[in-house]
Amino acid sequence: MDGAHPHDIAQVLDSRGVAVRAGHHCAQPVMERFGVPATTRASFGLYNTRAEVDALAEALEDVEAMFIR
Amino acid sequence: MSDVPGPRGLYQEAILDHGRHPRNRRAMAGASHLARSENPSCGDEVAVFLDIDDRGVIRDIAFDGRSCAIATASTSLMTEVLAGKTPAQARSLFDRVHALAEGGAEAELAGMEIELERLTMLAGVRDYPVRMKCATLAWEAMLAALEGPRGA
Repeated sequence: MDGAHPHDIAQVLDSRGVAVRAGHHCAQPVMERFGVPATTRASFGLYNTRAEVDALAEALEDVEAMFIR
Repeated sequence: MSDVPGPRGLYQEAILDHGRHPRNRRAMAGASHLARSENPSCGDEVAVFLDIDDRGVIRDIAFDGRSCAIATASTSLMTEVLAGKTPAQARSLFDRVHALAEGGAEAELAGMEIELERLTMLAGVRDYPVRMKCATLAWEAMLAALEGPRGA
């Protein structure tokens, strides 16, 4: 997702019903280590279904179309 | 899930275009005024450079920094709208952007109808309180630059 800002990614995913965390994750040293202003993090649980993972992947394609292409 | 409506009011096509292809993102040598502004909640930072001539007209305006699409678009739009304006006009347009983003009173600005029309693309942040600061970040830097000591 190079070129798309973590908060823009999270905003679009949210509008597609996918909840992720964006920002520093209370871990600024990690951001410095990787040289990024912030990140978007998708986390999976035992309860997540394959359809939900597909929804995330599909929404990420929308993110690419909006901010990168 | 792709039939779920996206945040279209926030990410209008004009916003996305300015976000992907920001205007006047370049360093300016010999700026007469400059200031930085930071959004502590996300770490985004912008530097705004102004070149104001002896007659008090903004001859050139540019910015530097990486930020989200909303902030980048607002900054890019600001550089286009403020070129050729006076500091007094810039302050009036700053007030208008604040009103647009936060839902305050919208003042009439005689002779700047085109500029006001263009700025309405930023009104979508009203529905997303955490993104309001994104729209106003660079405008605050611009105001700080105008208020600050005159540089080189």
